[in-house]
Amino acid sequence: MTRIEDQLREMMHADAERIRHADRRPAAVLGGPRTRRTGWLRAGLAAAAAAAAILLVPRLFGTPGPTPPPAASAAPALTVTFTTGGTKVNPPGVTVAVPEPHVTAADPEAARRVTAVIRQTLADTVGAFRNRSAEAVGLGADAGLMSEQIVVADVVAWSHYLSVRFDSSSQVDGPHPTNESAVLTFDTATGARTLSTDLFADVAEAAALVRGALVAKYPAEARAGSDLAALSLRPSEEGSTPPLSCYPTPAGLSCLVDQGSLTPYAAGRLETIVGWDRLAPLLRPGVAG
Amino acid sequence: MFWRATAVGEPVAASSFAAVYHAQRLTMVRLAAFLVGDLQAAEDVAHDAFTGLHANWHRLRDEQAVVGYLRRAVVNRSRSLLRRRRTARAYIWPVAGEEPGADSSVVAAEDRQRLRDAVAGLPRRQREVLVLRYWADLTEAQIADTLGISAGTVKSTASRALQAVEAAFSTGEQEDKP
Repeated sequence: MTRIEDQLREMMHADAERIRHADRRPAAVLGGPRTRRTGWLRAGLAAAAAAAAILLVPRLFGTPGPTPPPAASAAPALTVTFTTGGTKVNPPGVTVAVPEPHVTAADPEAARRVTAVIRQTLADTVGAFRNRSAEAVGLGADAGLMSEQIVVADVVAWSHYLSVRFDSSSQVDGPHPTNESAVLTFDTATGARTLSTDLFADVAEAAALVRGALVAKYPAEARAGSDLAALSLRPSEEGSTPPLSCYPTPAGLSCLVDQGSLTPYAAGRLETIVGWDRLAPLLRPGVAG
Repeated sequence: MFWRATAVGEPVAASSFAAVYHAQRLTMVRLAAFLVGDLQAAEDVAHDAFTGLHANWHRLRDEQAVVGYLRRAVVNRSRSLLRRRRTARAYIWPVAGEEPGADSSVVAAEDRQRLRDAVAGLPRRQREVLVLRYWADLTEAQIADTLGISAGTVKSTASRALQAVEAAFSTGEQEDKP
């Protein structure tokens, strides 16, 4: 053991001792497990995997929405298409279907940047699933019943942004699968990732409009005491991610809340679009140009 | 042993889940705190790990695997939390530096703070390996099992991490000298 190792051990043990029972929240009352995953969709997932020849062309001009966007770019500076990726098996028996991105851009560096971010996002998603699977396999669960399917749910351009939405459905154990979405928005000129908070000069007001739209669309869930009113476009300081994902589309800011994250699983994924007519005054200069 | 032994192959008694929870909760919160750099988030991570354990309790056959399972669950959930943390903030050591007392302990306190800063500046996996090795006192094989990597990778990662910590620590020492 070297001197630095001794010091590391001493420092870590001393610091750990400073985190004490008394400092923490009271121990939770032990209740039942969360029921977030099941096997009933396995057959559906397998069928979806077989049919998952994903080839989406960006909707560069979008579909006509109820309100026109403030502006729309005509130049396809960045395009992203997907093909079905290989099925990876790890732990043995677990199946994973992942789309493979193909990016073209006027600037090769932008294309490289976008490709890297997409691949990293997919790899992180698969990695998290693989870890959960390994945990369950370690406890004796049947790996053959586990699967993850990631599909490209949307590729859409608005102004000088291109957004990609991935929907993942992972089955480890439990009564139903975990369905989550990940959204990536890129600046088509630079390939830089853009967050929803980058779009608005008044983020708080934009978030309020999003929450209002969700509550208006899902009044029953709002009345049931869900946390819809607490959703924010801003990242949480505590590190936990608000399960709200938003991305710009020609029709407006499209927002969704992961299934089962705030409302009962049976309520499904919550989705709404807030039109640009309401959001345009809140945008940063140049965003819509 | 903090809960009763059972024969291999016999499911662990359901009543002992509470014993595991109360015996291991603080340890898992501490581990999560070192990994995510945030005490409140660490509590959530640890609680989530216990929830996962509870969900799988009925199929548990080997009670020896429980602590290992919890460690893996905490590591995985901590990684997941860091991955989903959209705030691009640097890792912060979860325990604030102590107030130095007598002159002799001032130097030790400064040394420990330099060490904290050095470990906080490491890439995630290197930090994980150091925490599991020097705080959890795990063997290379146990660390490999916890992190889902090979023992060789544990060894090389630990070596690189120690070099980086030593370099950062030495740099800090030089800067502090008048």
